[in-house]
Amino acid sequence: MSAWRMQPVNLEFQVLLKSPAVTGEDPDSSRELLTILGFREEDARKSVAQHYGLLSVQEAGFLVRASSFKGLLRVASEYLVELKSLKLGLGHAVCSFLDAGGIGMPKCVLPPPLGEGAGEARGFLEALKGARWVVIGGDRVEFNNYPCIPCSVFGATGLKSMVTVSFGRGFVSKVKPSSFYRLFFNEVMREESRGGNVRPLLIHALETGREITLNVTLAGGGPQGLRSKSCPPYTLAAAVLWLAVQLVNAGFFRLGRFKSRGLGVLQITPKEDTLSKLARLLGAENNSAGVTARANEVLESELRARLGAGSRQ
Amino acid sequence: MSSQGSSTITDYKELFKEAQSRLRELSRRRVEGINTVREAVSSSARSGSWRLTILVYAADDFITAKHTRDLVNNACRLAAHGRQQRSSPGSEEPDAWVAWLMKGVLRYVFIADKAGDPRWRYLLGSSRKPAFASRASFQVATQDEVERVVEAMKALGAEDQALEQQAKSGKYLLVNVVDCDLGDGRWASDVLDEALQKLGLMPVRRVVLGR
Repeated sequence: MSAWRMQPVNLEFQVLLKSPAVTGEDPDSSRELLTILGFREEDARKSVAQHYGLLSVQEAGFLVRASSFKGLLRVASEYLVELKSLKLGLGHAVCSFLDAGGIGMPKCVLPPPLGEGAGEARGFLEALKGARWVVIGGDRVEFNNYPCIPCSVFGATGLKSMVTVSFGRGFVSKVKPSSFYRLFFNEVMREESRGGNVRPLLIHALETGREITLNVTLAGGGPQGLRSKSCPPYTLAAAVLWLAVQLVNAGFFRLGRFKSRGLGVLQITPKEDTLSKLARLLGAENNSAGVTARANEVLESELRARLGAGSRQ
Repeated sequence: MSSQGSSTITDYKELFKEAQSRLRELSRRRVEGINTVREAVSSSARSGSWRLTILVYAADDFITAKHTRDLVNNACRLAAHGRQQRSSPGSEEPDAWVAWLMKGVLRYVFIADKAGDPRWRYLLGSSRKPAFASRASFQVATQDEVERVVEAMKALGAEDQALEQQAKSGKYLLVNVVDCDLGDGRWASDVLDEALQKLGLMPVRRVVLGR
């Protein structure tokens, strides 16, 4: 079967919480928290009101969404792809890192703004040309690195994501929140010096040691060309996904609030048959080291195909 | 103590007092300070001069030092005092408190250190600028955990720079830094490392992914 018509691939991962994860709280706590974190009372109220609908669906004082895990994997992949490209001397490879001449953070969109329009679209086009992501010659337009790799895999405006993330069975019974109190350094010290009362922050967090089953489905890659140049789209998606998992496991990307204070650390491991599936997709040895080594090769080849000297005109 | 020069900080009360005395002086330059650090961070992203760095410190001495234990005990005591009739299972372990409080302690080190640049406190993020997140995350870890993390980084192509000091420790402080060139020839990880060493933490490993 060609990669173009490939069936969806279901991958199953086990997520172990290495430290508590704060992924949501009730509106009152949220408002109080924002005030403690430096928001003005009015801004805190506005911010909570904006997300009230979201928060009200929570049960038992906590909330976690599968899409948060997708976001985590996406942002990890953005850092990884960009870093790999810089290391290979290929320049920027990810749209959110592209220096677009002060127009902010551009995002890949389909169709791309190829017209000679004014304003942001024009600035964006110039930035794409400058980075040689798009080569325009006469009536011919060549897309070297557009959409960028993370957008190709995780989706962009006008381009459906290849990756769907959902929770496995028994998720709610497995993941329970616990509550604990915390104070910040300045509060601890102030209380000592002033002898006043402090109100510790009550935090609802998913407990350390809990496990979450995460189902990740790869689907809808389409033909080689739009999403990937050097390999079938599924192969590229598998490589990017796997490498992003390694970066999450290294602790750079965490779940929920207070990540810098030691919370939200995750360890993601594939189920045995998932590792085999990844190895097959990548043409790698059926073990973790083999899959990682091959995933690195796949990503580097793709970056060279998109941004290497041979791809430029 | 002192928070000045290269001597190790062993008194958080003194550190707090010194930092408080500087806060008024520094407050009027606050936004300017945030903007300077923010600009350095975004300019490094634009120019591609950034990397991912993990700093590993032997932390036994730091965790068991009297001033650290006092701080953690006080935090636990105050948290317990403020409780209402609600259960509070788990997460009261000293290690979790160390990681939680570390950011605040470090911020006060930057503020109090007259020889340093107090702007670097914003490397730990600022709520005054939405989405301006901390560049560093802290975690107290065992040797096995450190090895797991280092192996994950090496598999991605990171360079493991074992440092001269190879002190064995039961607990380590892992610091994940989204590292960037600060524009004055220094990296964010160097600035953070300097401050962490002032707290008596001994660097044992540095793992760098990137150029």
